Amino acid sequence: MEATLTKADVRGMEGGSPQEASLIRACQEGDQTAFNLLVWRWEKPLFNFTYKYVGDAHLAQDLVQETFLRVLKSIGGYEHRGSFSTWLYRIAVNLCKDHFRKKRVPMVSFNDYYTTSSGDRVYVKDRVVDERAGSDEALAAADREELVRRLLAGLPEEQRVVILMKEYQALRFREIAEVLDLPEGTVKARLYRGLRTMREQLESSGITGMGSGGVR
Amino acid sequence: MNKACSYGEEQLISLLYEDGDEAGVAELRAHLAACAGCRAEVEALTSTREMLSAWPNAVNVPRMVYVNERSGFPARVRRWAGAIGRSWPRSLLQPIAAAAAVALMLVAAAALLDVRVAPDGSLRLGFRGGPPLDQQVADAAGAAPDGAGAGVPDGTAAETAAGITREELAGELTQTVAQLEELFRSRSDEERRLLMAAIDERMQEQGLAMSQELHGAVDAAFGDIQQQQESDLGLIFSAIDELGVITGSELQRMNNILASLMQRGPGFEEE
Repeated sequence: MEATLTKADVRGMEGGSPQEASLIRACQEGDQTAFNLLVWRWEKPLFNFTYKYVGDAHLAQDLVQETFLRVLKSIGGYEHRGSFSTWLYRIAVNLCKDHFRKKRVPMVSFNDYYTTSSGDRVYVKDRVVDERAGSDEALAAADREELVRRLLAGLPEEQRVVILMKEYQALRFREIAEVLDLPEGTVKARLYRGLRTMREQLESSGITGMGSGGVR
Repeated sequence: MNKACSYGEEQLISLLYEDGDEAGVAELRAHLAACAGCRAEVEALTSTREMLSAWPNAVNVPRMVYVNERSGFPARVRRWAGAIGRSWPRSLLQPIAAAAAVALMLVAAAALLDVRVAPDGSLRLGFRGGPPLDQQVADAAGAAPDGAGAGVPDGTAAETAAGITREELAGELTQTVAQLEELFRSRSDEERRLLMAAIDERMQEQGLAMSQELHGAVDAAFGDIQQQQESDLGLIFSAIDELGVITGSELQRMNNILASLMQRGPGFEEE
């Protein structure tokens, strides 16, 4: 490696930074420590992204692993123009899409139901919302999380992936556009429609808001 | 968006996330002061965004380690921490150190565990440093009428009888490997080779007997481990195998034992 970098150096490593460029060059020269630093820097956000995307922790692990494998295979020809993370996310997104395509995995629909911590099934679309579940006291954090999972899972994939990248990965719009090879305007439009859809789902089921205390 | 207004989705989203289109956002901000419809739209979407925080990102995620093959770069990325549990040291970067550390971990595991024959003839798994094993067995017999569960108990009873939990064991081994990692990091290549040779010798000397006992004890404690799925730990063991540290059959048995002991869900902690 040109300069000896540590985990601390790459902890908040920005895309396109000299540290990133240095690490990638070292990887291209076969430096396994450099590659491990890249893995260390990105495995956590990448796992969180794929986990939320596919909804299965073990599958997410496999997909992240495969993402890094592909990076290893291709990094020799990688040209450091944009940010490395953009390239990484693009590989991960494609792998997730491939998975859904090959497996034909049916996405869980928000229109089904979600199960509260007390075991009650709450059917949202049918307005069979358990009153207790709708109270601040009854809807615990786990229930709110489950509701969010369901809402996201019920979105069209093109909207969901944008929300995941923006809300949970904090990517810039230009980065998301680069990952998905879309105009920025399209990214924003999909994000807007996704949020609107989620809100409409909540409203149609009598849930008008979710503060820290629960569904209202 | 208020349909009577000319502001589009893109400006609204840029405002919500404070990302891009500064001019359009400034214009929209000024407009919001006078337009209740657009304000309501912004508030509703802000509320929807806040709701998304109910599903936080995981903090402790399964870690990976990159194991370079002797054939050279590129190599494999091996995922293995998930089989052990959370907070597993992941920076075992040098393959020889990783292999040696895992091998040493196996020796350490044997040192930590106490295998005895219970009064009913079954093998019992205990934890060194804990309550006397006889006391553990007596406690378990007292808790299980007519000695039920003394032979091949279910997982919960087995853990009670053994006086350890998988979490405790995983915690112990995590500490052990962290120490080993540091040990190997501080040694020269030649010292590592010598240490590896010593480990190899010790495994050859003790491995078979240790495996038989442990295998029997774990069998009794946790049921038919052969039926359990092979864990990712197997990948690490195969890497060790490639390095010629210990034999394949020994690896397989060790793998089964440790995978059984430590098999658990992902158990992510949330932020």
